[in-house]
Amino acid sequence: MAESPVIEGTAGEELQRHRRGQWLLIAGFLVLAALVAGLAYWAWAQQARSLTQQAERSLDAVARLKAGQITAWTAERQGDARLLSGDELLSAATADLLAGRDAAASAVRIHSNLDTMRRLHGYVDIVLATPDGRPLIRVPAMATRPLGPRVRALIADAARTGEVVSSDLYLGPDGVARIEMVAPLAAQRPGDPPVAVVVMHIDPKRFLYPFIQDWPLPSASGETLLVERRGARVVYLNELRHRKGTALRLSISAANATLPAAMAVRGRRGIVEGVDYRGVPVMAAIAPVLGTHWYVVAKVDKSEVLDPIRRRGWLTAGFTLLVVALGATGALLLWRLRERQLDAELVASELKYRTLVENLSAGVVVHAADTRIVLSNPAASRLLGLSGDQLLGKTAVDPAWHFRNADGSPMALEDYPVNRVVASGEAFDGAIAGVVRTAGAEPAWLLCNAYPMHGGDGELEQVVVTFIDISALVHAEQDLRASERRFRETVESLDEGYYSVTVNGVLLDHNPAFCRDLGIRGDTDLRGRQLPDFWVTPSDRDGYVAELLAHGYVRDFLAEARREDGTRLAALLSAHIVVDEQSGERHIEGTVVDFTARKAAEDEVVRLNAELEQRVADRTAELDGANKELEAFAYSVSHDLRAPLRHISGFSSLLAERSGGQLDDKSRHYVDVISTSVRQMGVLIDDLLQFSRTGRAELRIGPVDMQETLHEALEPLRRETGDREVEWTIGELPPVVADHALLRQVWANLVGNAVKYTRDRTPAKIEIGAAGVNGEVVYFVRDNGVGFDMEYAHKLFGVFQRLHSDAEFEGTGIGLANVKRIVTRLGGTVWAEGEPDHGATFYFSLPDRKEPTS
Amino acid sequence: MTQRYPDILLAEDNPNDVELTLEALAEHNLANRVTVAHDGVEALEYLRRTGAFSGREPRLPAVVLLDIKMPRMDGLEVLREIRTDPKLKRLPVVILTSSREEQDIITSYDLGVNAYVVKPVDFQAFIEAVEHLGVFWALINERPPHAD
Repeated sequence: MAESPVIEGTAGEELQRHRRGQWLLIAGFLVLAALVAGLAYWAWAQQARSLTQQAERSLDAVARLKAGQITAWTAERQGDARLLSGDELLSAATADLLAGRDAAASAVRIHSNLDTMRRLHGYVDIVLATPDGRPLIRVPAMATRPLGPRVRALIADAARTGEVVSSDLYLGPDGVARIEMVAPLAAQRPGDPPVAVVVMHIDPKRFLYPFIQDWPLPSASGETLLVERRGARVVYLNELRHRKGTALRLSISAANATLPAAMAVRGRRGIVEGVDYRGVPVMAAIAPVLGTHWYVVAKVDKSEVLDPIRRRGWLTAGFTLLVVALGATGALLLWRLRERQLDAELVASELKYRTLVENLSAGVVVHAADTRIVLSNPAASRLLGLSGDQLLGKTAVDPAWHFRNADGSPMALEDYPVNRVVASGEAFDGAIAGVVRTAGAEPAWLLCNAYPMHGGDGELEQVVVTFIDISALVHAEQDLRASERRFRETVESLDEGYYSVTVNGVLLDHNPAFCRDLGIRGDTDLRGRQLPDFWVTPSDRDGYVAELLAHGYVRDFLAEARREDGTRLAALLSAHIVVDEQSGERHIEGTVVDFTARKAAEDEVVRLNAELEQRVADRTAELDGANKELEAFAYSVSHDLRAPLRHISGFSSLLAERSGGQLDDKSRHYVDVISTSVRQMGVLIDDLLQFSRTGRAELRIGPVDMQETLHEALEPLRRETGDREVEWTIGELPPVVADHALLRQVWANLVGNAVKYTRDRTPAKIEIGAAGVNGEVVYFVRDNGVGFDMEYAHKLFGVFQRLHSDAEFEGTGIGLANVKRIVTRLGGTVWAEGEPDHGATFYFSLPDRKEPTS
Repeated sequence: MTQRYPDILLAEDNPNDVELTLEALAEHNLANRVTVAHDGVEALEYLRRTGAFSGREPRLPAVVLLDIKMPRMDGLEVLREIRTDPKLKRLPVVILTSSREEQDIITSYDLGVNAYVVKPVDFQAFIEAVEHLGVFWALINERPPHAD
């Protein structure tokens, strides 16, 4: 598996987890194995118990069977004895024999009787003896020997009691185990002593021992013992299976704690465990033989019982082991499979992350614990200006190459990122380092992070250094510092007091002029202190603050302020709220100007202005008065002068009418003259009134359609020229913003003049047009009339000034004066060009007003 | 019994103008139905039948020809009184004056004058104007119903 030195990718983590899971898996497996083993053991124990119980039951059954058989056998023997004892024929024969009556025949009968019994039931021999122990007849027929004292004691016992008596199992003089039974032969008459006794000799080897030794089940070690207590010892009555010649010869202390036979005679019953006469551990069942003081002990070697159990145990253990081994193998296989899969994922993941690292814009350099570089990415090469080979130490690096600290000083070796981490074992970030690639070059600025990677044992394995290029930021910061410095210099040299203050009134910054204006002496660095309360009038301050809060700024707020020494100054305050772009916090920057001197000057200006205004008002009032007088005068002219004229006209007409034909031609001429003069005077008065009004009337400025205005003025003139030949040429007349009514008067006057002074021209040519000149519109009226001498052009627009006599062209000399007055009032100019007999052109210009003014 | 002849009240202080006006009206035999008031006060007294006119028959003229410039009370004042008097407010009133002052014309129309005529200086024109007035208002125009 490839080691992944840098990356702790997800696949890597998965693998780590997978490995950590190994112990869990093993523990789980062990628990499972223990469970399986436990289960197997339990099953085995169940079997063992079952086998043991089976063995115990077998032993118990054998013991009881044997005990029962022995009881039955002894009862049979007793029966045999009693049969003989009660045999009257035998008894009679015996009596005959003893009496010597028919002795031989009796003897034969007796012999036959006893022999039948002997053969039938397997007795060794049967002896008919006298009650005092003298043998009479013996079957099989052999030489009778005298009976042993033990037998004789039995005979005496039987003769005395008249009951069948049997001996213990004992060793005869021949060293052979035997049992004797003595049956007394009842006398002919009841109450008499028995006539004789029959001694029946039983050889236990014939019947007793064989069926004791006979084991009903196949067993390698099964054995039945017949024991009885004799004194302090337990005597083995039968021949043993495992030792010969023991019948009645082997005896062991009855106090032996582990000997099952001893346990039997001590009264134990049922199943016991112990060690037999051979010293072999056995399992035994004890049963007493009824009617005797014998005990049957059926025993079997423990090993015989336990061997199959052990075998099964081994088998179970083997099987369990096999299962566990198989399970372990399977788990291991699965484990390996998963590991291989994770390995593949890790390889893929590592490839992915390697690609990522390769394409990262941040530089990544991985150092071994000895600071040797083991891995780097292309960005690192680019940022550090070193090739991959140079980084790996394979190629020499320019000796000028080094790191610099943020302040530009060369960086000490121990401060190199990797060395810092190796020395401290701690990660760090945000360190700034400049890289000088070649001598004299500007350093490239890097922001470095570095962190250690530890192995499983806590030992430092690798140091990872990552960095990004922050040259642009550093340069921006340098620019910012320079800008800050310039700002500072500017602020310091400002004549205005500058301050910057938090919303809580703590001064952040200020310049010397600030101290000077507020008269602060001594310590002139007030930063961090409270802004001095320089307000004289609290309402001023409240107004200032309110305006600042409402608009975010205050401009030229004039307030009375107090210097430190208590003197007053007029302070011109400006301020605005500055919101920090990043923190969003607000502070206030403001200026203070000592306005005292300027305030005084300004006050003077205000005073002078007020005076001037008063003067203007006075003059205006005077002028208004004069205007009023003029109006009154004009009114009088219009009203009071016209009335007498009307009367003159009226009464002269009435006079002429009344006189009728009495008046001569001359008189009639006089009346005509009066009439004409009166009419002229009327026109003159009307013109004067008009002239007066154009000076006084209020301007009504608005958009004026010049074309329409001209036609309104032309209307009456066209009627006048109805019988004349006039060539009208009317060009484009742009609209204008002016007074419509006044302009109509202008057109009426100018065109009227043109009509009047072309009276003798045929055809008369009148051209009306307009042209734009320098933002003004110039309108003109040109005619081919009598024209005028330019020498007198200056007189054209004067009141009552005329260039022609009334006889030539009637007129009041007010029309053009009126035109000039109107055009001048509208902000324009009027002028004329002409030549005697060659026509005249009158021009007027109007300013190109865009907006109607009130 | 109301008379069929139309009445004209001429309020004019200038005797020359009165004479010329009557001369003009005489042409159409209207002169003998003209009553002349020599100032505004007299004109109102006539119309309201008070003062010197308290005894006159209760009849309103067909039209009042009113000069503006008069002693004691001027023509515009008389016009205002007429238009605010419930009994006189529908009375046809014509201003006959020498004034061509714009302000006078505007005020007259604002007060509800029925016509505004500037006396021409020329006699022929004057005669024509007054004749037209007399004929129109006294003969052609339908009078408003009497308030009383």
